Parts: sequence; structure tokens; C-alpha cells
Amino acid sequence: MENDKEPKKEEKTVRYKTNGKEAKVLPETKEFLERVVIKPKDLEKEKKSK
Amino acid sequence: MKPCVVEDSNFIISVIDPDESFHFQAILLLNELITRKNNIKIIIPSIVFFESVIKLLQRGVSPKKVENSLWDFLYRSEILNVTFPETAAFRIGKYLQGVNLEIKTSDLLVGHCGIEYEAQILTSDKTLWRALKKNNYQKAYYWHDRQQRNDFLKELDELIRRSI
Repeated sequence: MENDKEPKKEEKTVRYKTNGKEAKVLPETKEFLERVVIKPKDLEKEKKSK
Repeated sequence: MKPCVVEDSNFIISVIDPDESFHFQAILLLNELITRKNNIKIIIPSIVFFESVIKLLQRGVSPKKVENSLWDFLYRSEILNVTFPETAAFRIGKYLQGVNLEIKTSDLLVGHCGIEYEAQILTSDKTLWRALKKNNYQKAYYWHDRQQRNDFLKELDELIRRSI
């Protein structure tokens, strides 16, 4: 995955950490992810298997 | 017309659920789409929303969080949520000829939606991906594969270049 395309150099990026990995993303992406990604407090019960 | 991209429910769930195997890849791909948001339309068939909501609830995510997260997707300017007229069922029947009948109805609808919009289709379903390729629909991408993700972005940039 390290070779996946990341934003072009001229775009301002910020760091987004997840599962011990760090991605360089647009500030807008980070803001969006912080709103939508599930956090432990969002779980009503123990997570069921997928 | 702006280039269109159809997302499947696995992509949305992979963005939302950090425990998904392809969460990291999904957020990088999402970032690429947001980078190009002024030049594209993201199409999310209503069946994809249904699947996403149901799967997340089944995993124990609170209904409030599921609703808030999915609304956030819906409200994005580049997102287009589409539904299907009943006649779509007859058109979809055409794709079934020579196609692996193990494809789920929801995946067929995702494929149908992509074809109708002449969109690039991001799918995590290899059966659908193979069926589309077999039917000479070249804009289908199995997004779990790195090479396919890179091919998808390369083609997307070319489509954007041609549309401007």
C-alpha cells in the first residue's frame, strides 16, 4: 500500500493516523474521517464478527 | 458531463470501520477522490446505502453513529445518491446472459448503475468484476488490488482531462 498514490506535492496535506499507520491526506479528508470513522464509544455492544 | 465513479458498500464500510482489512487503502483512495471532487461525481446507489447501514448495525455500531456517518457521505457535494426504476430489473436481466449466477442482486445493481452512468466502478466483488470484464465493460476496478487502484486513478485523471 505504501506505493499507492498520495496527494500531489503542491496540495497541503496533514497527517492522519489509523491502526498504527499514518497517511498524508488533505485537511478536508482528515476532518471528514474524524467525523465518520467508528470509535470505541460508538459501539453499542461487543463487535460481532464480520 | 463529469466523470462518474460508483462505489460499493464495502468501500464505504472500509472507510468507516477501522477494523476492516482495507481501511487504510480505502482512506487513501477516498483522499484521492476528495482531491478531485470538483471534477467528478461519486455515485452511490441506494442499495449501497441500505447495505452499509445494515452491515454496520449488525456489527454493533450505534444507530446514531451509523446515521451520522452515512449522512456525512450523502451531504458531500460530489456525491450523487441514485435509485432505480422497476424497468431496470429487465435491463439487468440482459447482463445475466453468460454471467456467473452467483452474483448477488445488490452487486448486479451496482454494476447496472455503473453501466448506466458510464462510470468507473469500484468493486470489492471479484465475481462482479469478472462479469463486467467478460461483458467488455472495461471501467470496473477490483479496488482491493493495488495495481487496480493505481489503474483506476490513472484512468480517472485521463477522463477528467478529456472532460475539461
